[in-house]
Amino acid sequence: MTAAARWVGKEVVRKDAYEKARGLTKYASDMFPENLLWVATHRSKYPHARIKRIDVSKALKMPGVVAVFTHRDVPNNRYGVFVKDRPVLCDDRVRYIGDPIALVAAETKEDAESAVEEIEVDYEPLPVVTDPIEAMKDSSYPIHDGGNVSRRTRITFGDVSKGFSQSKAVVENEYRTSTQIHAFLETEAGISYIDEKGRITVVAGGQSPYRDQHEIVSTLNLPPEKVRVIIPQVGGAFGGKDDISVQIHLALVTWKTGRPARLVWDREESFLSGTKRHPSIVKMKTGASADGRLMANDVEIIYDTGAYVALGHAVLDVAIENCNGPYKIPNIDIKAWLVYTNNMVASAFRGFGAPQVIFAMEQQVDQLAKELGMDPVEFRLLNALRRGDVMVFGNRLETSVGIAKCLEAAKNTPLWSRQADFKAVKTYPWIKRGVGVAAAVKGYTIGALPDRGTISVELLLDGGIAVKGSFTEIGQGVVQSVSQIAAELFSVDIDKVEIVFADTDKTPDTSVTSASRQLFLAGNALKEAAKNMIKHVAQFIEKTYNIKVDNLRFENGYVVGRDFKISFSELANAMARSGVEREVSGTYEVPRVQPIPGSLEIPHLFYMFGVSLALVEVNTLTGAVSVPKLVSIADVGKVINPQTLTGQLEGAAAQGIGYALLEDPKIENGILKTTNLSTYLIPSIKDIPEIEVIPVEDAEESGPFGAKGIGEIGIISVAPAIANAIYDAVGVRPKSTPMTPEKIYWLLKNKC
Amino acid sequence: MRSLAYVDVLSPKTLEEALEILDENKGDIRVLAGGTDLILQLRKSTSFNGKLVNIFSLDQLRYIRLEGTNVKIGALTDFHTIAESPIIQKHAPFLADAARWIGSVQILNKASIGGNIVNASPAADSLPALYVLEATLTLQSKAAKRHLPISEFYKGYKKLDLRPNELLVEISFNSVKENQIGMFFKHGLRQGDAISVVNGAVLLEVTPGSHVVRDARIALGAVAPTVVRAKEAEAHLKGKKLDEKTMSEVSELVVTSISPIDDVRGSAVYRAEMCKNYVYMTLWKIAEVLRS
Ligand SMILES: Cc1cc2nc3c(=O)[nH]c(=O)nc-3n(C[C@H](O)[C@H](O)[C@H](O)COP(=O)(O)OP(=O)(O)OC[C@H]3O[C@@H](n4cnc5c(N)ncnc54)[C@H](O)[C@@H]3O)c2cc1C
Repeated sequence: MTAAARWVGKEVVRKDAYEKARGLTKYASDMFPENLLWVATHRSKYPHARIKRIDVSKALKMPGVVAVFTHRDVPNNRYGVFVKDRPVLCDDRVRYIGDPIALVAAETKEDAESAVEEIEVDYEPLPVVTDPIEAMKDSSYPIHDGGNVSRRTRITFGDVSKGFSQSKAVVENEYRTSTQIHAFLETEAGISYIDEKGRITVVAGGQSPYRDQHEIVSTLNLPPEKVRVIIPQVGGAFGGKDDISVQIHLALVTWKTGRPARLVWDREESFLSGTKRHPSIVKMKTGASADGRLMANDVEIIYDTGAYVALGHAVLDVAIENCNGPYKIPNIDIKAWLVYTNNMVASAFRGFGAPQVIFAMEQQVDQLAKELGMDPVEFRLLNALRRGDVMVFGNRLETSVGIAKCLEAAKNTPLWSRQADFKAVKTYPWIKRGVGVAAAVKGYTIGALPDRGTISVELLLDGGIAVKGSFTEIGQGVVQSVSQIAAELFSVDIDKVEIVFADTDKTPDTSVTSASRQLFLAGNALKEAAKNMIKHVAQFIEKTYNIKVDNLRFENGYVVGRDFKISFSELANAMARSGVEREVSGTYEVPRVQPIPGSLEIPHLFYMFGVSLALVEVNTLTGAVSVPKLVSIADVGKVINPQTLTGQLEGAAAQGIGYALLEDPKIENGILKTTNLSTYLIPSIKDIPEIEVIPVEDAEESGPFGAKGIGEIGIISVAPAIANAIYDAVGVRPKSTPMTPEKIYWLLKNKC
Repeated sequence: MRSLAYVDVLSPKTLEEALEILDENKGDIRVLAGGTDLILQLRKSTSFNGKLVNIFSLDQLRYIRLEGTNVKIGALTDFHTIAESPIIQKHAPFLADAARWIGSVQILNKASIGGNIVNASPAADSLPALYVLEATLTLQSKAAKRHLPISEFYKGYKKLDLRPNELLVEISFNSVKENQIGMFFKHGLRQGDAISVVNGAVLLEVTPGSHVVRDARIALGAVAPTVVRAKEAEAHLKGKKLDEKTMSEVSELVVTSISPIDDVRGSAVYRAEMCKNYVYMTLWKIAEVLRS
């Protein structure tokens, strides 16, 4: 980074802040193309059943109905990134309570909703499998051909029995975490139409326009050039829009009717049919030597993927990769299963498999420290990974490793260093206070899988630049960060940077906006594009003006060489006159590593780290836990924009508090009972404490201006930090999320 | 979810007009106040095919008055106004407190006390306070006006002594006296915008100086088909001081008055425990106030 950065690292107000605050931004759910058809979905009434007959004749005769679609209209009725196990519209079977069976397209919303009720489906109910342990048994009813274990793997390094024999303290526990629903402000939503070039165009909330396009063309059997996907500003995603939701259905309606269409899931549909965080069962036996060194970790991980795999195979890999925490452990034995059930579909959710296992591991670590009489932060520091170390999978960490810095920062935070003062505050005799800590690790980018992204930059005639990429603005602020990096690299004012994003017609493929990878990928690709632009401009100048050009650079809106200076607009106009291309692209590819045997994408080359500290108050007469203070510490490489960084970490902490304490989907025999925000409680503003964000800057040389990923790390250690704080306060360990008042109450009651 | 786009809504300009409409459309019409309960229910209902009479603009039903020692609240008064009212804060502070905890800002600004009462959820937050205040409801039809103690208004789960042509127009009660002290409690599953798992109110009258309890009223919500008074616990308190022993005994006794059920928000046994423990905590806090 240049010493005097003008834009990078600065708290520049987000360009979209003003229009969003004023309600001007158009999300997909705000779009109403003229002459549109309203689409409504007929969904399964059973969590598991054979479909014997689908009769749409009555629905077709209903007022306003233009068309009704079933599986018969879908040429290739299976999709999925890892396993093509998911029907676009169910044919032979339904496998969970929200499974879509038919679509109605009608002139009004009311017409579509009424007609959906008239679709008749004859079912033959099948045994409902909801418990993943049951599902794993050979005797359980197979939900898919090939049985209910979609993926199983075992990864061992060293010898755990030897590790345990060298251990002084060994703790063994089973942990469970429940489903978490993304509950974004904007539900899954989109519109579709035929664009001016005759292409079926889908405008919908998502995280990867090219992948959505691929799923559309492969199921509907259309040539890719016939389908265009645009992802406008999205009202929240958190991984929940990483999979297909409305996209194929919309494309189908517009393809078959030629008319624009609109499909917006209501909250209940979103709760039933949107993907979720995997519920988990994690068994861990962990040992540490007398001098406090972690010696062995024996782990069993069972993730319930629900009816379909979605991104489950990769989520399981992330669970395996992170279940040992950010520590050196010489002996590990990890067995993992991804299991089908008739529960709702699980897939990506901020943290992508890491929060469940870290909830387990970080409570193991606290118990070991306690047994050995060590301070929990010192114990973690002693075992923390450092740059150059060999990680559990035999991979050497050659990139930034900031966990020790994060732990040092935690140690120096008043909430930790003066915790006795915080705990001594007296309110009522039945209120007990405690402080807890937990650490986290997660890889960013997509590990040992191929991962590349392209960005292009166009010189505009008015002297500005347009930066184009398929990254998506899901509220996280990537557009702003990319603008700041572009302004820095091209040395122009930020107002001169125009960002064109997420349109398969206009932007090159920067791949998915997930895995905390997008700023890193887009930023690096942009650096390449800037270099290529220098070369391209140099060539043009040499040719046009017949002068030798070297040492070309961008400076305050000018291209500056040894003996000349030309403004961007002058240059762009000259290029336009000569018919020279003004757009140049750059590609960044994450260096490939070999996946270890038994894995898909382990290890990563790049990891992010974090630590959470929580102060809790437990009401021993009600079991209610509140969090008066939370400290979120994250190793972010270098900060690009302090405000968006704080936003990401505060948001992640709030979502982590919801996961830890509140979010309690009640599922009975495959049927969700908490189908709205009145029974599925996410945190209100009163549940969110003062959150102190401490960025730790351990620069990553491979990152744009030293930056690392940041989207996910903040949520991962929140739940275990709260669990450890509860133990500190009242001496009970819930070992499962959510840690609801009723759960804590009975634990306390049974303790005494 | 049902669309309500085709429902007929009549919007009278005066109370008299509203009563006239109700009289003409007996039974076929529902009253719409803030709509924070009704609209949700109608969206889910398959049976409703009637009209709505929208009383939301009848400002003559929005007031809080003190007449002598009598506090009168117009049925359309919203909970934000009740929470902020100097009259309520002074003469029934625990009702102001109950109001403050209803929903979120958006709900506070729309939800009316009349709607809360007539909707008759056993978990409605204004009810325990109104029960210990022994409030009177004024019900008016085109032809007549009648007054009813709040406890007689409820005949069972969502069963009301309310005729199809009647509106609830006013809620009134005596202001709390110098030697009375009351408190509201609410157990929700989160700290803001939560529906009560249990709620309640305690109102004690004590002998000045000695703090011996002269009269006790305890009302409990969400633990029976209607709000209930904990009669045995109340009786046990009379003539006693708020010491540790009395407080635990009284809180154990509340279970004789309740019949909680299991639902998504909590099990019956947990609700019973919360009832006991909240009564204990509330008595403890009252004792602390009395000491200071
Ligand atoms: C997000 C949310 C949070 C909530 N939180 C709480 C909470 O914390 N605590 C709580 O107690 N409640 C809560 N509620 C419920 C609701 O807001 C209250 O019960 C509110 O007081 C209802 O008043 P309203 O004016 O909206 O009534 P409406 O919905 O208009 O009417 C409710 C019922 O009363 C009838 N009615 C209304 N006024 C009259 C009248 N004057 N005469 C005769 N009949 C009448 C209607 O016909 C209807 O049957 C919540 C609701 C929502 C949506």
